[in-house]
Amino acid sequence: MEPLIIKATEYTPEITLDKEAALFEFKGNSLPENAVNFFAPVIEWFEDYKEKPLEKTEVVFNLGYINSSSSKKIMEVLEELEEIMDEKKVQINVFWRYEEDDEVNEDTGKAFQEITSIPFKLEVY
Amino acid sequence: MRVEKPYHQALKAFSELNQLSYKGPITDEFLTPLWIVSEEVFFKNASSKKAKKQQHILIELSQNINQHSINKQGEIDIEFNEKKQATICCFNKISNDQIVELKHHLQELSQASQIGLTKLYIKGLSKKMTKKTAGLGLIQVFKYAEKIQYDFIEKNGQYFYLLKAIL
Repeated sequence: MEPLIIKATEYTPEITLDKEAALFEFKGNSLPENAVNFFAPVIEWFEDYKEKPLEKTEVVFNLGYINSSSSKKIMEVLEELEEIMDEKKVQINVFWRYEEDDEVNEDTGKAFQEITSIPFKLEVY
Repeated sequence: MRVEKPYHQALKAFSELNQLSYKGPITDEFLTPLWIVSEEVFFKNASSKKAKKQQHILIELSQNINQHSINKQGEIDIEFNEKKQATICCFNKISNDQIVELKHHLQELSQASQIGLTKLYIKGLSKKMTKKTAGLGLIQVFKYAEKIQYDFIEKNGQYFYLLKAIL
């Protein structure tokens, strides 16, 4: 499966989805004007990944500012991961990393943690 | 010859005097430099914990004008008081048919407790994606601002929406 690599800009995150390297990471600010378009290839990639996922998938969110439309799309990513976990009976773990003084990011992570059934760990860095 | 955009002066004053007064197109061309300068100004005037919340509110309010103003134009004013609190004020034209729904949403948010706002945020986040974001940005503005004022002003049958967040 081809990896999906999206380079970071000041307002969009670096995204690495690489099955062969078992690397699944979102890093940077996420404030695209059109989050639907920006996240479309990401959702599509996970839909393909769902066909034959790894036995263990660890997804790391290491984000700074996140606008509300990005949060909605991240929720969709988590829903895709939930489906993979439930249908393929594989292990999925999500790590939500935030800076100690970033209350907004911490609260956003806690909200995702409450909604999703995926093991979801909050980590301060 | 380099043509200076109308917002350059406003952003220069914001950077130097910690006071922004801008009226005009609220597009990415303006928002990108605004966010860069505002980050510098917020971090200069507040703890990083508070500055991050101020920045987040500015992002949500400015993107709100960009997405919902009927002509992608508006006003953004930012100033600091003696307690180093920032007042972020946004003003834009609004389509008359959006007013009832928005008023209802604002009223619901202004009456909600912190726990209530968190519940509304979780509820909005877990809904299936629609064209809108279930007002998630506005919920966060109410959650993190210390004080909110809003109003709808009518002029010749056209409504304007004003929201002021203080934190």
